[in-house]
Amino acid sequence: MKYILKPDREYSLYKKFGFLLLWALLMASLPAQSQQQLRYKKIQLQRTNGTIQDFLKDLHQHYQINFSYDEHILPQKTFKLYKKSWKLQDLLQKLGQQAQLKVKYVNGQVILKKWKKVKVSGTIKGQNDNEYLLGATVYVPELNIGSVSDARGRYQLLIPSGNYTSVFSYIGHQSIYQPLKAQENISLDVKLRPQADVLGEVVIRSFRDASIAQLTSDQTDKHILPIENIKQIPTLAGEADVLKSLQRMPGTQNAAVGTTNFSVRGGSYDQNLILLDGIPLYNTGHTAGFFSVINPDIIQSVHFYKGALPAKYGGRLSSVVSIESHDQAPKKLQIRGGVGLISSRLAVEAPLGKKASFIIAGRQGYPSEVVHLLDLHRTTITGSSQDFSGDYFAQFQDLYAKFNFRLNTSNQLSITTFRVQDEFLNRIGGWLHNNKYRWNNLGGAITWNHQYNKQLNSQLRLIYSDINYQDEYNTAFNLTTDQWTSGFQQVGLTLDFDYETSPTSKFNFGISGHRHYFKSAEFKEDITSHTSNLPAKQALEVGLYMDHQLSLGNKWSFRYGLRLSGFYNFGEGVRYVYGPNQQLAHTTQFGSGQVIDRFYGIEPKLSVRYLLNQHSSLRFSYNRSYQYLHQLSNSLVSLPSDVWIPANNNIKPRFADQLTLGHFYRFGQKKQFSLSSEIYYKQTHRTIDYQDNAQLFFNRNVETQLRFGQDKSHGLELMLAKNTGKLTGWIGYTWSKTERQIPGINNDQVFMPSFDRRHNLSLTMSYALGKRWVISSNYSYMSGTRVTLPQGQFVVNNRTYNFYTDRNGYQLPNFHQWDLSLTLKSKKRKKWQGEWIFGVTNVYNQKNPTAVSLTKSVPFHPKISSHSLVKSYLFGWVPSITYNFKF
Amino acid sequence: MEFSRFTMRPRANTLWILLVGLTCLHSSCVEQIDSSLLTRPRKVVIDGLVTDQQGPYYVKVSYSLDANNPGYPNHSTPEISKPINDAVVILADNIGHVDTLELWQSPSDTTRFQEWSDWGVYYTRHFPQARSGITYYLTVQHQGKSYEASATMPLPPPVIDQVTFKDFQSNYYNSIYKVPSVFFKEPRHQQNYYRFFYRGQNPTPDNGSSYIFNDPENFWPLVYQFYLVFDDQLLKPQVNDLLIPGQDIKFWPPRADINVQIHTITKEAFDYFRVLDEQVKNNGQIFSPVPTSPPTNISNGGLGFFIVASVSQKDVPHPFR
Repeated sequence: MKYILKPDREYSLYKKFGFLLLWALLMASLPAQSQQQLRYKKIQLQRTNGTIQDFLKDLHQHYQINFSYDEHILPQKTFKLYKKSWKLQDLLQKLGQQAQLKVKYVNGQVILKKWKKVKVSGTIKGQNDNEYLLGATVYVPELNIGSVSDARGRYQLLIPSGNYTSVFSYIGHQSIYQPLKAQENISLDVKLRPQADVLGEVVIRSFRDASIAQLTSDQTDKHILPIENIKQIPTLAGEADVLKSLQRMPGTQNAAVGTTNFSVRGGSYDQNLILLDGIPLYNTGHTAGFFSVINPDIIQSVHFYKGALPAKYGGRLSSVVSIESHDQAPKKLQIRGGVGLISSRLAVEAPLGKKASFIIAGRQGYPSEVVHLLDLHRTTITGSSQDFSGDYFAQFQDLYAKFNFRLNTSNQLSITTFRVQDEFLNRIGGWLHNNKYRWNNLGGAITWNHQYNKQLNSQLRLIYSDINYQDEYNTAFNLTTDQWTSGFQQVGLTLDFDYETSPTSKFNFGISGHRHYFKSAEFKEDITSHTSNLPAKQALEVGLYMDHQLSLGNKWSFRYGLRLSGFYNFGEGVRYVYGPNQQLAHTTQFGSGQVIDRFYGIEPKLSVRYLLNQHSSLRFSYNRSYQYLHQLSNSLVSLPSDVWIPANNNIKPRFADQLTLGHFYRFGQKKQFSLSSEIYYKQTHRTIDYQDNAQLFFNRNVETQLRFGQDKSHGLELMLAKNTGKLTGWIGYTWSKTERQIPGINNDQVFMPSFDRRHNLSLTMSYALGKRWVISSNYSYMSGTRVTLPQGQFVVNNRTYNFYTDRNGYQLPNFHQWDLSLTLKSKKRKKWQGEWIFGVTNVYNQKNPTAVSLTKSVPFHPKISSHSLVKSYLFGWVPSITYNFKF
Repeated sequence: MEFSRFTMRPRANTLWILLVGLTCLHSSCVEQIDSSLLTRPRKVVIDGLVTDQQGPYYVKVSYSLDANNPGYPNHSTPEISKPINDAVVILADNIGHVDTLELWQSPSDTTRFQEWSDWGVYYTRHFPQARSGITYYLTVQHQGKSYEASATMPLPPPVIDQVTFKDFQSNYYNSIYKVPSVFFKEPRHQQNYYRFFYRGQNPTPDNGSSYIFNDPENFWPLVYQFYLVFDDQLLKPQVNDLLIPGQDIKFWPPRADINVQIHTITKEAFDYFRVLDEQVKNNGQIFSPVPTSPPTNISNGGLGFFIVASVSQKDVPHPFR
């Protein structure tokens, strides 16, 4: 009796329900067994299925083991064991874990008690700056229970009392392993040390945290990329690039490798929402997309969602890339920088008193200077050398600044602003035709984080984004210079709340409103000196969302949500109605402020996670999303002439449904390996493409040039990662297929988009050679891009012209490339720290074609011109050298 | 002066100058493709022009050329055409006229009419002068296949009020051209698509000047390299000084007359020329949109276009006469 009666609350409960004491009499009559013997007693079970009570009865009957417990604490559900022969200790531990029972061996008896839950709570801060860390994880490996800290760094865990270990981790910080003696409710505050400096040591440890986060995440297909990893991936000319590193992830494809555009699970390039501190980036590429506009110096972390898009993000069908910039206050003035072949960078970070800090980072890019400096030549098909430098001019600048103010413990304000500027001259055919592009981006965000109480936090964000384009082009035939200018502007306000009702239940909800302003496009024709205008358009995009994350028991976690989105075109403007043959039937004028079109979308989202055991989980998700803005792109790479247009009565919003099923598994002695596998099916409705020979440029009725259909994509994605140790990295493999069918294009037959590569293998790894050297390698092998090929030529007015195969009817040879980089870090010194990065892109000089075209020795003159079909490729092997420093 | 022995500490400035030691950066951009990938049967190309001027009217019939057509580097002539001389070419209209065209046999003057035999040119023998509003039908039969096209003659273009000559700065050649500039009233009530031409016409044949182009009326717009295509939406009601860039008339002898023509063409023909023009800008490289074959009004997989055009023209003396 004494073993089960404890003078606590439970006693009265037992009494109240008429507690049952079993085996009490037997206790006295049976000889006492030594506890050791009892623990290691070999058991051969009669069954593998049954309730706890069934198992206990069997054990008692066949092995005369005495149990003491209160019947009420035994769950009635059936348990399944995977084998019949056990050691008693293991068997009871297994059963106890599943039924949440605590097992004690006392004098040859086994006592079963209900877990006593204790609360572990506290805060997680950064050690250097004392800033609370939002989104840091705490995890108890023995129980496979974890939680995430809120905006004030607070976390809370409910666990059965006992002794465990806890792991605290945060991106860019070293994880802490701490013993957890949780007999009573305890409070545990920790401080995480930043993962040295960005330059400093090679940090891959944060991957371990990523793997834990991935295991317990209910989000399918979400990747977290720590900046350290991004910086280690060898890239073209040594420029660290976020968007290109995303292309290494399974499920992302790109038609022209080396550029920043990417397609996620068969979606077009314009279906990715790229946010920098909440500011949508509409132009992501410098120099026609060869380099991304995001300066690696400012990045803290990148979250990449490709399947179940969180309800708080809207307006894109395929993926969300959320880039958060630095917000950790340094203790003192810190200067970082780098000199490379393509650009040079400088960043200054400093505290402003005790409560504020700032970071300013700039880059100057001079890609064409290197080309000129090195007198780069390209070989034409005729074997003669042609000066390449004259054909090409490019330069870019970007400047970024962020100010953080910690007003008080519950209020934090930050201001982000950036400006990006580009100039790019491209000559086609030497002298035949040239384009001079100029564009600039201006962006800003004011973010106010406020904490109402321990459960409720809010974030209010005001964003502004502005793009201006200019394109000057000449053609040899018309001997003219035409000029085109346009732009796009967005102002938005979002209000987002996090409400945590309990450690296992969390709500996220909010509203957002964005005004899009499509600036009037102006076209100046040289011949007539005539200026024409496409009128400006404006639209309002609104969203209302709520999502609930709920954990049930240890195994199940659910995340379900709904986003309601709306889109309004408003005047001044014109609605065009077209007849069956795309001829203009009638127009309706709308005055200023009048609503021209309105659209609504209901976007349900659901993710379920089931933990199979401590090291593997199964996940499923369904997602619907709507997109109201469309990009009309004129090229394979990203050029400013890729204009954005709003949905209207002729171009209905696109929407997509996606189903994903995933499995995640950690293995190895130290669980240093993780394998994630996912299959998906995605269907995009009202997908857009141009009709053959579309006239997109400066067309008032551009919608007549578009055709609408359906995309169907499915695929398998595998990713094997090694997260710790000297050798780290991952192997990603994707099998995917995207089929596009659009009436009016390609004779109504199914065709594949250019980025549809059936197989895509990528191998990215880093190896630490001692303390100062790191070698990183990157290998890709994938199916070739699909292209439309010139099939032959014909002569019109004594000029030769091409005719072509079916759309994307020809597949280029498979792509493979190996990139390598070697990093040498300076010895640890107090003040100055330097780092050399030597790299080679495309080590074995593989000429991977990106396009096939006809070159003509004398353009368009059939009598003396020869023409040859040539593959063009972006680059051969390109060595690079970069020096980074910090003091 | 006293020298103190400080240990030099690295300074930011000194470390900015670092681009050294790169001697072997080599990068090429194009490589020839295996042409065996593209062996496909040749297509039939048909170019026809019917105007509202006095006939005869001409139709060219030939084969397409291979995409790979090298030759120039080795100084051998590239293949330039494959005329089809055994086609049956029939022109008809919707008011009952039919004519079977006759193949042009190379005249004795091969220097001037070399091109004719290059193309497989057919011409009408008994076809009345075409008029606005009438629909014309072209049928070409070749090796058991029949290619058909039809088009309706558009309204006549406005009368050219005046032609002057202007200097035109070419950004490409960085030289000044003398080109015609036209004046006319743009009829606002109708949607017109224009095609502008001009050529030097010599009353006496002058073989010494290759810039003179003495091909017959209704034929030369089929082979002349320079023209300008315009949608009238870009024009004002009174068009003054519309420059027509093309050949520099300074190269023509002063005794030549300058013939300036405005053609109105169909929307389909305009789209055809617009797409051809786009191809000049689009080289199929990564900076270009997905290329497609130019549209055509010829059925059964034929290439080329059957153009019907109303013409308004004006002869002016060479300004240097």
